[in-house]
Amino acid sequence: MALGPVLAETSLVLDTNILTAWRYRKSRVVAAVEEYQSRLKTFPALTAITVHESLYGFENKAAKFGELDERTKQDRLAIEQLIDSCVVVPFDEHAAVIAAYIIPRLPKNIPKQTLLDGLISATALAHGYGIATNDRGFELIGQHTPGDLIMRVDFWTP
Amino acid sequence: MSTLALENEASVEAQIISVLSAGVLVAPPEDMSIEISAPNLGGYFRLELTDLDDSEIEDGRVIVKAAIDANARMVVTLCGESDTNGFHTKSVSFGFKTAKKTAESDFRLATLRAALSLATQTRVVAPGLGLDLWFRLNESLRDIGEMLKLRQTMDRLMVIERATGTQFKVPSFIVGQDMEAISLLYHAITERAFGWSFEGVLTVFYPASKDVADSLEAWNSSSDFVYPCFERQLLFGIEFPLGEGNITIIDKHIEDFQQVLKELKSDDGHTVTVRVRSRIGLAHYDFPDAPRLPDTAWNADLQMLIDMEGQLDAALMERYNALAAATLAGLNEDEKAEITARPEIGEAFLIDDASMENA
Repeated sequence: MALGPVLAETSLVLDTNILTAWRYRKSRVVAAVEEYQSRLKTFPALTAITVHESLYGFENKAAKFGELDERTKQDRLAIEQLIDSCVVVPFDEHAAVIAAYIIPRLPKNIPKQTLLDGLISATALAHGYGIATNDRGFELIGQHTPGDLIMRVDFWTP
Repeated sequence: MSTLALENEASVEAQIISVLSAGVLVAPPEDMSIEISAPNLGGYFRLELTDLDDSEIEDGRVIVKAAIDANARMVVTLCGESDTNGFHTKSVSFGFKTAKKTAESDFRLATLRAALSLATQTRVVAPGLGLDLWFRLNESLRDIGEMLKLRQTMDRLMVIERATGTQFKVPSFIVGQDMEAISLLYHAITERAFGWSFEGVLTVFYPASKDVADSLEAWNSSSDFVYPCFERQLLFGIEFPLGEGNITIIDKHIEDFQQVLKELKSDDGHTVTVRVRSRIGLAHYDFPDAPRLPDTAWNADLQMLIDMEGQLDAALMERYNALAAATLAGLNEDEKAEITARPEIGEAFLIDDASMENA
């Protein structure tokens, strides 16, 4: 149960907040993504949880209004293309086991989104990835990883 | 992580932007070369033509093969129509074949293919064939990214080859263990001292003695554990010595420290096993005597390909950044906030509240 540093060869997944900041063209996140790609020659991966969260906004709007307007449909097409262009790390059985360990051990007064971050963390841990995030809640999650698993977290400021 | 090396893959269709000359002379050409330039990437490739297959010209197909080097070929398939003035190209596709897999061949091939895919437009000129056209390859961002990853792997293998005087036969599939070895050897050769993931256990053996016990107590008072060693790394079944050096376990934890200390203090010379972990999964490797890359490792042609790295990276990121931005294009701030709002499904995981939900 520990947090560890991100090293030169550490593959990362983007936390949903960081993916969103990148979509907003936040310059420091764009620069961090570019530096990562330049170093590892690959784009940071996404977890299946982040894919869910990224599509949720579109589907939530579609569910409310019946369908999306043309502009938003185009944007949804773009997010699908972006997801297709990234490695998506699955929330599989191993991740589920890790999540089952972490989540009951988190304090009960945490923000609800920390629970989704727990699923992102479990997915990253299960597949040997570190996490790029701006959310200090991951430090808390990192204190509750099972066994000898070390959660590597890189804090990117949007 | 593992990686797939270049295989003889299906051709990639190109989008022709403009045709300056589309005629293919079917008679044996005098200038047996094909020139490819990607101006926005600073890339220029001159390949020798090795084969011109016009056996299907009546069916509208001519196949041209050009040597990327002694082991790799680019296969250009021209589709079009024949008339009395010759063959008129309407579409073109590119394929790549390797006869023998070497790091340099795959590096050249990956660089060429990535350049063709990332250039805003590419010019292909084959004077002997009367061919001169601009085109753009249509490959997915993910495929291009994988090509750049492969290019990096081959670049690192070339560095290891030059520094150690080895020539690898590159397997079709490089397993995760070999990928890790490639990275470690590359960092040892190019940096000598570097941080490295350390999530296992360092097991060392000491004879039980009061001196070692005193030393271990001293080591335990430090946050780190320095282990002098002669490191060797296995890659593709070949052992590469990195020389005398140190592995420093950062934020160390010695397992069963008091028990180990007690055993060492018995001072009877029996072998005591000491297991050391890093609480944060980090070690510093320091190999001052690791092999070195010669000052002039690359010829001018290869250096030009190596120097394309920054432009290839920038071109790929430009496309990724544009795609990311397109996911919120045309929306006002409220709409963006709505689309990017995170779902609130947290209650389902608060197991202490389960009784409340059933109430």
